[in-house]
Amino acid sequence: MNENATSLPAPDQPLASAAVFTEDEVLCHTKITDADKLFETLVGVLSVRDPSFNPVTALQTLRAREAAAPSFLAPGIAMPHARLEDLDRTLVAVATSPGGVHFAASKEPVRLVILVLTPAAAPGAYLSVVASISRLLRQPTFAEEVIAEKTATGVEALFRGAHRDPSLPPYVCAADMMAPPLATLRESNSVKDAIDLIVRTGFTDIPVVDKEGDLVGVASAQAILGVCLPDYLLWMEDLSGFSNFEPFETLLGKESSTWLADITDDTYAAVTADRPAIAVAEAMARRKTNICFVTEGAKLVGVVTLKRFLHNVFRD
Amino acid sequence: MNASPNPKRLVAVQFAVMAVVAFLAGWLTSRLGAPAEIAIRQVAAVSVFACIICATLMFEERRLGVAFVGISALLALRVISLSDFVKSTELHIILLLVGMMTLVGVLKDMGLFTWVIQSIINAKKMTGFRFVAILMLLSGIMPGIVDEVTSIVFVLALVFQVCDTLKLRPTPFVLMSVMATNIGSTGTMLGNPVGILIGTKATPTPLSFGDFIVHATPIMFLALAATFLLLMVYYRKDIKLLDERLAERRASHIGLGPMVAIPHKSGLAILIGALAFIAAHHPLEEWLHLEANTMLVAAPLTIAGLLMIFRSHRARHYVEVSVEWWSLLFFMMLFAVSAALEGCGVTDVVAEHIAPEGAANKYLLTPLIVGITAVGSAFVDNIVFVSTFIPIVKEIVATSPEMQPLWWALLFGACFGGNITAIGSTANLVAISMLGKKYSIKVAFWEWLKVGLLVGVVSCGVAVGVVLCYFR
Repeated sequence: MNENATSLPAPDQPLASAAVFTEDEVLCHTKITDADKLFETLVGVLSVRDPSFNPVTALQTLRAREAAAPSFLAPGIAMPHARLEDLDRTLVAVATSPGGVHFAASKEPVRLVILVLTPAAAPGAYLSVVASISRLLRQPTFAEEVIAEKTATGVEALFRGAHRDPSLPPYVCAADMMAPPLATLRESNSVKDAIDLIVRTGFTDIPVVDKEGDLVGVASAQAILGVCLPDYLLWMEDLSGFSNFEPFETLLGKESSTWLADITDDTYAAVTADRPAIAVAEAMARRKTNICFVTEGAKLVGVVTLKRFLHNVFRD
Repeated sequence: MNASPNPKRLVAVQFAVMAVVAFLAGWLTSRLGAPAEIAIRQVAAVSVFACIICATLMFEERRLGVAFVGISALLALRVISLSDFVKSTELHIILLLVGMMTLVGVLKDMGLFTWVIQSIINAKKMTGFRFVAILMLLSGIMPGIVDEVTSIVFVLALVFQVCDTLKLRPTPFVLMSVMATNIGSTGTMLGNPVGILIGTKATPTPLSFGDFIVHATPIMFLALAATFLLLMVYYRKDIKLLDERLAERRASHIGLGPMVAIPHKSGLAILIGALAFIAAHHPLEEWLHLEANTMLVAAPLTIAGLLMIFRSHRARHYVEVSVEWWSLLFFMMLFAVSAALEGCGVTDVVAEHIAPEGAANKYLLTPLIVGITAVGSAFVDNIVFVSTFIPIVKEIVATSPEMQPLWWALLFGACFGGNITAIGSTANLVAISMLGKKYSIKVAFWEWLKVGLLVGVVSCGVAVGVVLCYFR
């Protein structure tokens, strides 16, 4: 697999953004219980830090975005966000509420709200914040520690504490964008297994892994079609003579005994998890495919579909 | 730092190189010592010819444009008159090719090629040795029936199907097919435009389809056999792997592709009928008291015309898509430039240098012609070389009639030399392009040259040996 390397920042290069918030943008143990009211308050706080954006537009955008797709990172943790055209940097405000804030889309009260405003023309900005916060939340006690903290200074300190740098990462990684592979095939599977899986899941490209979980290829619905209707059959002016799926009969009769290798394509789009997310787009564009596999070494760890990529970049 | 050259700058450099080469060629021609009026025409003709060679070498996609401009310059400079230009475009050869390309388009539509491929990939008891033998034999025979470009497209579909299914590296099998195709294109008059050109232009009498079958086909098969043995050794590891994978498939009773009933009989009947009609051109011409090779042109046109009448819903498709107008127009311009070179006496001068009057020696000239055309064709389209050499060989044969076998030397040198480099023939370029599109594989110049040079030397050696022994 060859992907052109995208240049990474040098280790000593300063991060793209400095700390994303200060204690002034933290609302600790708020009594507000209505999500909409909390948005108003947090947007008001951020407009003090950066008066360049229009708070009314920001609120409208936030509400519309939240109505379209609620943004819960985990149960009890929300990360509402909006992209604003008149903003030129990322702004973050944090609110904690041990009693919980009511969000229409959540049955469970939300106790930690991280509101994010990003420039409209910087698709990576929001993803950077999500990536950064997600990494912090992976630590089991972190969210509870933040919610329990009674002072804004303490909350900020928790984010800024040792090994808990609230700065934005220099870029969004493939790992930040991937989803776990929901369906995989083994080299030892048959074409029948592949067809069953494609039909059952609706996925059109299934990664094929070996015993160690290393990615070895992709079995696709198009490849199955190609086995039944190879190029040389399509040379004919029309195939209307085959009215009963004759070209499929050979495969149908042998699908259990036909090795998956017959339809496994070893030219696929793949990037390693630490590569910038743009490499995912590059790999898909170069391979003219709708799916990119994410690996750690050779091991398959996730997938990014083109749909997911476009959603993350243009709509998140 | 960006290492890739600026495309605009590259084109500018290429045009500059072309201008310098054209200027030098013209300057050298001016030193031939012809009278001023003729010298101007010779300089113009040689310069335009040099431009076309450079365009073929450096920018394939601009070569037709360069040829159009070059011909216009020759017309404006009165190197060639309008009526001579029209006569020299060899419309009969172009129409013959149009007829054959149309026929191929119809046969493809009707499933004949699909049937052949399917029959091979589903053959029982297939082994690596058998597959390579069938592949090279098919590649050798097909261009003699349909042209070399159609043949390679068709044979590579077979190679890709087998390599895809068996997960094999396709490059060795692609190279085997292409090399067999270039050799096989000498087997009949229809295999290569070069064959048609030589056949219709040969002196003292034009060569017929039958002459090619009697003289060229056996030499082609000998060269093909030698090349087969050479490539079996050269690619032994890949063939061994193919053999192992085929054995695994055989053990599991699984074919290499779908098996369906292809309605091939009508296509096969049309092909056999067309070949019989074309092969009978010479007796027909004698019987009807027609000029030599009249029916050679009329037969494919008749067949193509009838097919277009019966398949009128696809007639436009055959003419617009199946016919390679780009190549045919280039051939027309090239023939006219060759006629201009001949008309202003340049080819006479070259012929006199190669074989001074009364000093022609076939033991010297046969390898010389094969060698020059083989090396030239390795880098420039073989039709460029052949159309230039035809007046030269014509001149030599006119002064020394025993030199007639040089026509065959010209044919084999031009076609076998195409195997030496990746740019040596149209079939090579088509194969490389197909390999790149399907697998993103690039065949390095040296990778091709290593095996191409071996095949070129062996096949040209066979041709020289047989021509010298056979035409005593």
